[in-house]
Amino acid sequence: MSLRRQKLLKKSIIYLLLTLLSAFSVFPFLWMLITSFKSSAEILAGQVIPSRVVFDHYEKLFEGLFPRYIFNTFVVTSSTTILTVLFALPAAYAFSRFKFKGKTPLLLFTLFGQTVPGSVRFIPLYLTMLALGLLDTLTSLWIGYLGWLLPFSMWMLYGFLNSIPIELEEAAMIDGASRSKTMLYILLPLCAPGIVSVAIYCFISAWQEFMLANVFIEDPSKRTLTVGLVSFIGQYKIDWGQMMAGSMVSTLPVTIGFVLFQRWLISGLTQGAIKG
Amino acid sequence: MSGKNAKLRGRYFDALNKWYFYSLPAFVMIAFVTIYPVMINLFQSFFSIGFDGTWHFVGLNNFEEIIGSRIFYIVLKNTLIWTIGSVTGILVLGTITALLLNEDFKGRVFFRAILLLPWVIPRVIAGLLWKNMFHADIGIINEMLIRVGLLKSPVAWLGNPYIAIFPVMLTQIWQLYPFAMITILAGLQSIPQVLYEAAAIDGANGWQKFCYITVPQLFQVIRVIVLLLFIWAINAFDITFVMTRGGPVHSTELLPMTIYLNAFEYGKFGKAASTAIIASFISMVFAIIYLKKSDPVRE
Repeated sequence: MSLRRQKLLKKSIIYLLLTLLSAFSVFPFLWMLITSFKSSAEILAGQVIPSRVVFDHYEKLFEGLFPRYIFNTFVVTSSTTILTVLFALPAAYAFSRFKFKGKTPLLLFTLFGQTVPGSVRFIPLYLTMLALGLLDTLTSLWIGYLGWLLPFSMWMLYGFLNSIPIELEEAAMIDGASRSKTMLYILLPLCAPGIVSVAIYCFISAWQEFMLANVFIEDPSKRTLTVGLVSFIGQYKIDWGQMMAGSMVSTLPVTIGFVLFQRWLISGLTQGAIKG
Repeated sequence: MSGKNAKLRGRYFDALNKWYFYSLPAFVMIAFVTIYPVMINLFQSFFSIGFDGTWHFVGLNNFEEIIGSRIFYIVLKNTLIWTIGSVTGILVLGTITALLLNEDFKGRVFFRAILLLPWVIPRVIAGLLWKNMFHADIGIINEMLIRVGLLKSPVAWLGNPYIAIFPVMLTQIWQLYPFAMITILAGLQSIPQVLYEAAAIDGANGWQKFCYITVPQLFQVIRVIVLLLFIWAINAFDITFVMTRGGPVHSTELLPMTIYLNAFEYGKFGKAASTAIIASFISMVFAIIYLKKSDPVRE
């Protein structure tokens, strides 16, 4: 076979395989879309293509508690993200820029915090929140998330800060700037990409967290999105229509945002993955 | 910037120069939400705690009950199948797609974006989507397989204890293989082009280039993520909860699910705590291996 034909064959195989894999990845999304516009009767009858487009599910969704779920999730996720960055950055700074005894053990201790599985923490946390009277509040959620996301965020920022040369800060401090000024005006702009990566990671993690949200919250009006969607699974029947509509609403912004900004997100994530 | 001012600054703001000032809030939170619960959990595992909140000391009784129960071994078996199956699937699909995306062709970025989509959505939604698709009566999977002729009658994918774990595993693979793909791809793309060119000059053909340059790098990257995938698999909860809640007949129950059920379904917080200890022990073994391999402290 000539070289040209070989290349053509190779390209065809690549496109074929990728198309198959893409179909595998994308089909559930299409199905979610179609089902959300299908009437309940047709869903339960197992009809594949809807005979007409139906907006019932979306209407019911927004007449019900769903907007509340969105609000709750947004509140919890934003608080978590902001607080995590606020706590993690100074801590990462401390590790990166100071020498002190016990740094290594503390670093390992942080890493250890990351490996604790959620299933171990959530029962004592539940009992703690019960004792503190914080059960069934959104506060309990962002407290839980904060502690959970801090180790990894600290770690990522620590690695990132390490890669910023200390000479710049030293030069500023020799010129008389105080440490806090140095940190604010010189370091902060430089570590913006790292902060953004960590913020995105925290946001996404908190957004989709289910275990704690499910266990801590009783009151339906305080539910987060993930729990709200699962609540469409009733005891006797499942409201697939609203569930799919709700899923569409939950994933559409993330999906679109991702497709548009994937270059930045991926580079941030993989840098962290390869570096350490 | 006079001498007097500098001294003043030194005295009042000395705290700003101490490392613990910066790291204290973070450590307090971590201790409160991670370390403290773990300690309490350890303590609780020796008690029997009911919903009413009363604690009775039972020593090692919880552990004896767990190790003596048939369900525990079913769960261990499930964990084994689940972990090995899903991690293998994730790595295989991830590697194939990464290799494909590593080639140079039009539309690469487009495909990469599409293939990453499953990973970007919440786990819970992935579980709900596939739960609907695998539904015995109204699911599209049965519908398609029957229409195409591969099946004669609908299969109870999530209702049959012998096969239920497989659709759930498929969902996990569907959702996580993009992660493997993107990390492996990054690893592949970090191979310097000159290596391939030098090999070509030395007379290596495509296959040899693949075996001696690409594959070793592949192994390198896979080594890094495989333990991470194992740890995630062992601690998986969302997808199993949403799709089957550990059923039918415990066939898709994993350790986190057991802990949850013990606490919130059977009302045995103490036993849940003990199960959690066992689960973390297993998880920690993998975590330690992973940490040792990636050598965290590089100063």
